[in-house]
Amino acid sequence: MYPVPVDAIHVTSYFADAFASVWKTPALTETVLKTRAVPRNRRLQDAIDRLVGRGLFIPTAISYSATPTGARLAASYSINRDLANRALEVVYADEEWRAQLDLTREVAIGIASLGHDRINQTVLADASYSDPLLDFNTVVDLGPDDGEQSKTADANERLAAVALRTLGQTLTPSELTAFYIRHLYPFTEVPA
Amino acid sequence: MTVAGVAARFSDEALEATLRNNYGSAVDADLPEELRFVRGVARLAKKRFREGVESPSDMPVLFLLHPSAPPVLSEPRSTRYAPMIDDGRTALGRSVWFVNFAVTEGVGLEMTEEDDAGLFSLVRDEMSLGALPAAIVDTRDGAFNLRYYPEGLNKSELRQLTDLSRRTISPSDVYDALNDIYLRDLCSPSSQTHGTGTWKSAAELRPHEDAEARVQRVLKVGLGAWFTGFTIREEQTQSTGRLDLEIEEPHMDDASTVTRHMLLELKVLRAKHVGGGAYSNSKNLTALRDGLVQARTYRDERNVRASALCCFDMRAVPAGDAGFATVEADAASWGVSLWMWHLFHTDKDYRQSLVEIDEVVVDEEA
Repeated sequence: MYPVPVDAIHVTSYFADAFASVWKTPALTETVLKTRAVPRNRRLQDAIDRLVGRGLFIPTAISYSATPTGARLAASYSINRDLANRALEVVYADEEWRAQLDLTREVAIGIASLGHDRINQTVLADASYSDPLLDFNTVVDLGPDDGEQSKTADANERLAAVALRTLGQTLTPSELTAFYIRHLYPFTEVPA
Repeated sequence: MTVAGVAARFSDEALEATLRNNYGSAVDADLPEELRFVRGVARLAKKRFREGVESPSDMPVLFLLHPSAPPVLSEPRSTRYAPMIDDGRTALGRSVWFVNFAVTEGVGLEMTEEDDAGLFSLVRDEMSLGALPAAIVDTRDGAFNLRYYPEGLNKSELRQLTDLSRRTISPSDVYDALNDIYLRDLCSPSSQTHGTGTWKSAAELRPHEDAEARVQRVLKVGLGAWFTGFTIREEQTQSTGRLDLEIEEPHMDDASTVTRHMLLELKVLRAKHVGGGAYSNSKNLTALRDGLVQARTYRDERNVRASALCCFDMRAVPAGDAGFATVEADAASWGVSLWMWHLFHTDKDYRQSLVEIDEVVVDEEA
């Protein structure tokens, strides 16, 4: 596999959380700070750093970029299969973890299929993240606990209803994930 | 972006357009990766070649399950990156495609070879990728075939051939497929695998609580391998209930419309509950009646060409076709096929049944 840029990992994580209710699995993080760029998940970044330390992730193309508050580390990561396979076996043996892995896999396939140069744009087009009523530097809630659901979950629910009404098909969570991400394609742009 | 703009972006009309333009995406997500790969190649090839979107190629199109960049060759060749290759908008010919198992993106390597031997040599010798699962779409001389090499071109003798021009599936085709899957994956305790085995305790005739779901899982994977160019769906909901399995085929001019070839309603007949208590025969007879009505009503509501009630008998003594005595008249008048397979609870019983079948054949021939 290609080494995966760190932003792409965070995009994958964002959508895995956004789709968690569709797949009926727990989200890693339900609240995300809306910025003008790809949202960074601190817990995920800590986990990536630990996996690098343990030799399961191999970093390449390491670089720094200036930010308004300092500097940001960027890298691409690939999996050290020899070590990771043992961990993946444990994940596959647990029903809930396996479901989360399946969800993450389908998200990764979906966003990668749009083209590697568009991956970061998909978050910015997502129904929840692009909500114009939410200003930058406010929190995007992917799992509201007040009886509401996120705008991403709402769009998926309507996607399922449209498929049943117009095509007579009951879509699986995998299909919903693929269709939803494909739906974002026209609203993504290749960065100049 | 305004509120109205976001609302329009996710309107029902916009969502429906996405569904129609990308129909078939992730439909095989629960199948094993290599099966997903070959089925993805088949679906893509049909989009490109069956209705002439792309003219037949003078060389086969080769797909390798290799979601990374092609290796560097001694003589550099051009490559092209194809995101969303599964939407059928990318010309496939004269390329070796390196794709992921979902066949949703790929890199095409220019193909300069002029014959099959050269193509095989490129993969085996020059790229040393002869162990990768490979699929070849051949459109030469009026053919439209898919050759799948599950263990790569190094083991070309394991080739599996699919006729992608095939448009129909008959009930007898489906029966043959189910029978093959039964013999390989269901007939005896030893033929079943841990994750999908139907027995909680075979020796005690105790089935798993979700034995029917496990049979359904085995059949879905098996049918996916058998009918490579068709879509296998499960758990489809309509007003009359939720069907078990369906075999359909998208229309190439509008992939969101389909021909539904066959609907399968599954029932497991039991001797005991999962806890070991006796399972009454009246419950089995009720399951048969329910299954027959489901197979008819689901078929009629969804305009499926044919339907069958498939029973998997987990009792010690197989009932055989006599087990359908209470429903066979209605099944005949409703046009629903009745199929029965026995899930033997010991390997010895299964072996004995094979001997008895042989003896019957010998008697008949005599």
